[in-house]
Amino acid sequence: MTRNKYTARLQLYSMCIPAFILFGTFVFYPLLRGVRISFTDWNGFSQHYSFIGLDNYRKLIIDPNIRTAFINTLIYGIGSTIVQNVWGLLYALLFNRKFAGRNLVRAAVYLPVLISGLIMGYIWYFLLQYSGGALNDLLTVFGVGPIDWLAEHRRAVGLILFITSLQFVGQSMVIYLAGLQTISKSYYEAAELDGARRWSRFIHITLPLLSPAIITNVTLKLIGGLQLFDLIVALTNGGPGFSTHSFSTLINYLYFVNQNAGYSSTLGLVLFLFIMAITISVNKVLYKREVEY
Amino acid sequence: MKRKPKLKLIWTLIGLALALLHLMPLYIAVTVAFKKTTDLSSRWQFPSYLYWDHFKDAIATGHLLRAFGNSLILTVATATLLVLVGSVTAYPLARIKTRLSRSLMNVILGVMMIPTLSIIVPLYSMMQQFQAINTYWGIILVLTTFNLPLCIFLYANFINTIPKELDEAAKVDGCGSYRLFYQIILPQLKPVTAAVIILKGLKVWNDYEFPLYFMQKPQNQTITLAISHFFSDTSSYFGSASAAALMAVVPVVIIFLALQKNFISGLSEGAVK
Amino acid sequence: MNKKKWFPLFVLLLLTFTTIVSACSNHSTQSESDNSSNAGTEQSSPSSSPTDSPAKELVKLNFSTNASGGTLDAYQVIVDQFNKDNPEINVEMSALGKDFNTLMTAKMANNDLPDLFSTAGWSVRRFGEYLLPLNDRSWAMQVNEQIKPTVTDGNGNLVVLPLDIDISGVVYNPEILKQLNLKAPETWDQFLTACETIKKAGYTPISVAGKDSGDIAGLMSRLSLSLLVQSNPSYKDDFDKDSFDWTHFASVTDFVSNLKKKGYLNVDVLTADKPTVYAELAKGKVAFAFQSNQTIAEVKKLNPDALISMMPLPVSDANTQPFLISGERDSVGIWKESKHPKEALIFLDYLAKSENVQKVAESYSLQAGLKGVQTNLGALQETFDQYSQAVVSNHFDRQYLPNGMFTTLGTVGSGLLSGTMDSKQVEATMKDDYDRLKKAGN
Repeated sequence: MTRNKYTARLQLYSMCIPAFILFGTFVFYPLLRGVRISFTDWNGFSQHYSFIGLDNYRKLIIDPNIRTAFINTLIYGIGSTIVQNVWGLLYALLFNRKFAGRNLVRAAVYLPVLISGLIMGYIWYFLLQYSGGALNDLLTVFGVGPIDWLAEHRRAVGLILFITSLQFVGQSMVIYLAGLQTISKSYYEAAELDGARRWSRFIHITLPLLSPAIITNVTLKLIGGLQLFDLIVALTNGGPGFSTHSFSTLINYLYFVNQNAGYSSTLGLVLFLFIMAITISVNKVLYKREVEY
Repeated sequence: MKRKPKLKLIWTLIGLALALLHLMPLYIAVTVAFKKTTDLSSRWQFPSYLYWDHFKDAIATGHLLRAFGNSLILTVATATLLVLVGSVTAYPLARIKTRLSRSLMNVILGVMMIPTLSIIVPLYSMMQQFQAINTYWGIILVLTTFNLPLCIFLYANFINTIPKELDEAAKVDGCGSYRLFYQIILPQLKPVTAAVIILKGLKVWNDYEFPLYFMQKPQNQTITLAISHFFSDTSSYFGSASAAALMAVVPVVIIFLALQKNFISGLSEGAVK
Repeated sequence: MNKKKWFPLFVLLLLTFTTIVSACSNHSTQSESDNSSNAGTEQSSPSSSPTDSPAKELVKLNFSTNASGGTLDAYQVIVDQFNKDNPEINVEMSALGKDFNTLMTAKMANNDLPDLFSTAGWSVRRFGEYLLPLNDRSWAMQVNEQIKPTVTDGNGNLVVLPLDIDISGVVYNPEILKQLNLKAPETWDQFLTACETIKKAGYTPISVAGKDSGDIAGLMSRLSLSLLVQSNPSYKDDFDKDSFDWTHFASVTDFVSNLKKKGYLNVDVLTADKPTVYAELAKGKVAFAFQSNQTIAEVKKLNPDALISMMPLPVSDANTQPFLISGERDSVGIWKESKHPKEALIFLDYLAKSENVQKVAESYSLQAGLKGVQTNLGALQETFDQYSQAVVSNHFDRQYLPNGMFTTLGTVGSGLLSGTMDSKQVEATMKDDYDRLKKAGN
């Protein structure tokens, strides 16, 4: 009996094999190669390179661009998670009401999700550029001087966050709308009988029952934000200076533009281990809670 | 009772205003696409003429149709693999609650959060060695690997909601794990599969960085890449670029509108249960 | 019930997938065998009998270029005509645009280059080892002397077909200068004085497309050439011996910081893209742009009546002559490991025909790279005649810096203009990248 159980368990685990072959081949094996490359000054294409010990790691610590990219990645990652979830939930509550043209509005909000972030970035440049930009044209009508929107680095980072949120908030909205549909009306009717106010109904009924949708949305947005790449490439290309780079664009810049594959690999490796460590520890906490309830 | 219609009108107006906000970038793309390059008027102003040359130019020099075909191949193949591998991996991880399965799940979630570009340097040099650059199988496997964790995550969450009693009953009947998965679990995964296909299909279709590195031959270009080449910084090609972007969106929009109803119900049963 | 619904769907998905995979793999193996069989027949059949072509299968050639705008259009016309005239060869051009450098780097790493490609100014030092020597071509003797050294490697091999010579200096608007009673400045002092007058008159003295770090690099490179090398000839030796003292680079950083501080640069210096700068020049609002003459052609496209011309780069001291920069621009070479070298050569020879060289060179009003090809330089003819005796130098980065430094120039320039880098950091970055890239290149 126990042996049977053991083989059954083994059989179950064997179902994971294809996935872990993929992860092994395309994630962990490259990761190990990355360790080796991180000790070299390889330029990314030449056949010659030399080992330079820990130089790349030393440089990483003092490089101010890394700090900028780190802060920006956090802003893009956590910022877009918060913004898009709050915004998307508001939309979902708003557009869950019945009104004329509701489906049209939902489709319009969702439409930008279908477009590549890269293309959206290029289009937004038409809106934001200083001379001839659509937004400045509008400002001039109201007698406000033209503004060079993307020149100031905090504003540029904020705009990138705003644009990616404006584009992808439709996704959060749809998932929350779907979540709202799973909540049975009887809960609210019961609450109304109890005389619960609107706000307290939201806090005590809607929010807890939406928690699967919240988890899905937070996960999706965190991934999207931490990996933000194409929009930045199209809108600012990391500039002015290095001020709007995320880790992804910086790694790309170091490898393919700066011809510094060794250093790029070092940065990627440290980032990989850092995010892996955070995710795993956060998950451990979450799993404990899941067990409790 | 009397106030209700008025209120509804307000919601409609608010809704339409928000819709306009979201459609504004597309409107700008439309005016740019229909304007002559020499027309330096404001981008809000819709031209009094319709200039089709940008569209012709985009079709002629951008090889858009071929790019569509390539994107379609990548999307269909990757989505299929994601569904197959994702569901089969999620099942044991959702069912077994031991330290080992937790650790495996943790690793998968870790991979899920990591920016894919973090290992681009070694991955690229490895793909070179495998001679996998410019091959469909190479990029499909890479796309599958990096999109797989989220699929496993969604599938595992969904399988958690399927009562374990079903498994137990089947086991009593002498069902092996594979048959059990195939006969009992798989048929119930339809809604979450719809969600996975929608989320990931869209992601792969619009992906920029992987095709940029791994599909460099013009014959292999995907739609996003083809359009990005139009937005070449050194020239005033944005008319054609906008035209190409608009044309690329049309089929996706048509598919979306056709599947809209299934889409929301797929999500409501699949991703949020 | 459910099960029955699901099974066919899954089978369908599986089938689709396997068909796709098998179709792809079939396709690739097939085309590879085609290639090899073709290569075989080519070697065995005497090359003098091209008449028995009907039996031959279509040979596809990849031609990657960084060309854009008018030059790209010119290439397209030539390629279309070639494909029509040579039904057994199909040249497929891919315009890589701004991804050119990234993709070519990746392709070099992969040792999988296109059959033919533009070299974007780096024929010898970046792409030289990948290119087929072309000394035996009939047009090799025609290559213009002004460009020959830049496209010939250390062993005397001509590695590309140079279609044009990119003579450039500073793009300027003569109308604004005339209106303000200024003449084209010959020294930097005169230049700065002119900028002050222009600014006071309400024009933008200098416009830079800072979103494109390549444009900042162009500015930095031009300034470096004048302020460092032309003003201090001894630096040339220092660069050649790798002993250049990077503290001297401060003269360049100070100059750029000063331009910014005095407000001589466009307001959107950090965010403008090149089309924006073209548009501003076309509206006659900008006096100077440190760009190549492609700008002149692009501006004329937007406004055919725009007054815009080229002047030599100013120098630091009045005893030296203002000078021009001469570099390769549109050069095309053949990958030496191409599977279809013969067909690639046929196309290259076709490209080398006078009328085709003329088309490409004229697309941006440049002089032809081959002797005996007359190009209509349009409004610039007079300018070129005027400066025909001017001193000419290669680009700063291509002559004195290792491959890869052009982007560093852009990076430090962008850092400087955005205030995220001070002159010490600029110096350190330049030195680091110089040492690193120099080492990697050897």
